[in-house]
Amino acid sequence: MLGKVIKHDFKAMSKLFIPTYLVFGALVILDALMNLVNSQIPNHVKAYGIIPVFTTLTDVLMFIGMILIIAISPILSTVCFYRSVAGNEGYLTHTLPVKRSIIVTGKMITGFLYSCISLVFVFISSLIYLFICHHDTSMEIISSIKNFFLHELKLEDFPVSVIVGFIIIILALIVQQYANVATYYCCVAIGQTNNTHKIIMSIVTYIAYTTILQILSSVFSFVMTAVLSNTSDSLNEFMVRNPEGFFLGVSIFALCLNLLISVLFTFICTKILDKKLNLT
Amino acid sequence: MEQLLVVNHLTKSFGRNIALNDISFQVMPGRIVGLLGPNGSGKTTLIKIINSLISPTSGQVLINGEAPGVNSKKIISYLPDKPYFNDWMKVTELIDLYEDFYEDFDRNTALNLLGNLHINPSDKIKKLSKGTIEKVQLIMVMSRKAKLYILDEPIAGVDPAARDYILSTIISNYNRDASIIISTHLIADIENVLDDALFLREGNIAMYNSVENIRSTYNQSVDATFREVFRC
Repeated sequence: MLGKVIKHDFKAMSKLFIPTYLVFGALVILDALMNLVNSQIPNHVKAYGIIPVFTTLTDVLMFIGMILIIAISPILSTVCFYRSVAGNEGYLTHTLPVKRSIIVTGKMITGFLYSCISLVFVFISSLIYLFICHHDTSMEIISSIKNFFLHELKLEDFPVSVIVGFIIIILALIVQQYANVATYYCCVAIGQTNNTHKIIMSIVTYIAYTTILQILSSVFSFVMTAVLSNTSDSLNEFMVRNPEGFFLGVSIFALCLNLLISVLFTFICTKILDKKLNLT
Repeated sequence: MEQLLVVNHLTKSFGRNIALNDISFQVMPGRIVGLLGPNGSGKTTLIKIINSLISPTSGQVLINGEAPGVNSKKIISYLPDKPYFNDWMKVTELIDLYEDFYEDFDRNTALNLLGNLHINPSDKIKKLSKGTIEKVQLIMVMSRKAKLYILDEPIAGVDPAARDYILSTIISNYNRDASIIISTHLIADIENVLDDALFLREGNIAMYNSVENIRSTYNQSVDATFREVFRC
């Protein structure tokens, strides 16, 4: 059933995401073309022409688009989640013969997948842009990267703990994407507990959560600084003596924290929709 | 014969407002029950609880002997009182969705019913008129071989010709061993198809009897009895 939930949710969300990607893709192509045309114009003509102005404009638009597409991905996912769970579509979603935990998990996985797809899409678009507009530079970069991985990078030079640490950090970043989606969806679910102002309640919950998180991290930093001021010598000694171990410890902590947030918010979201579902 | 639906001392309150007040009743298989009452009498709240869309404050609901949940959703086919489809979908995608999730969904029945109404399955929901969307919703619901059909205001807001179509679709497509609960305040239109009538007033059961008994006891139609019971 989880696969079916993901399949149908993925299809539903594609109706919002695909047009967004198409618009951005068109912008990348337009910008690349403008840069190509601009590069063919002699410098003395450029000073009086309109093409350089348009090229700068499309450059700026593409840069803004890159940031926007990454920023609005979670927002689009959350809008889809709200509609399908708390809006009228919820009448269909919640009467499917599927456990709520599976519905919530399926929707979170779909939101997470689209966050990753957006990142990959922006990355590939940037590469295409570089390849078209700065062909020589991009070929140099590619050849340097290739050279680094094929000839210069020798895994045997790195301690196993560092390699494991990098893998864990990458895992932590992936889990963080899921945790972000889980946080947004959980706020939507908490908004459901209010009878009249569900959307406002969701937004307020998110703002409150991020504020509390900021306060907690500030307090944590303050306490850690105070503690470390007494033990800094031994900590520094440990870091110098065993930097790989320290790096590994930090990566494991980041992974565990993101896993905890993901599981906790998935659980809270499911419980709220199970016990406090409030379709109007 | 075992009861298909048992409602036991069910209460639902929203803050100070009591929507359902300690109501109890049972529905046997093969019955068509009219859930009748004015706006705000608790009809939709009761239906939402049966469909596990909201939780009761107290009391119990059993569907085929089980509390509302995954198993009850497998045997209930529910038509809400509002459009609930994602409007980007094509009708055929909707059929795929129903086929994927409901084992008792019959694709051919759905396609035949759509064909009778000249609805193109490749049309997008958002391109259909409000009345056609309501018919598509009903077709999806009635294309399941469910044990209990719950239809919330299926004929409200549609013209008399569409009402006739909706009622004939319901009557000709439901499984004879199944039960139907139809919530409405347009009693005259559905009176002839009902076996039982349950009158709800301010969250309480004002009357629950067979249509036959109501007619013989009050010597008038269910519609006339309703008007008398709920006279302002």
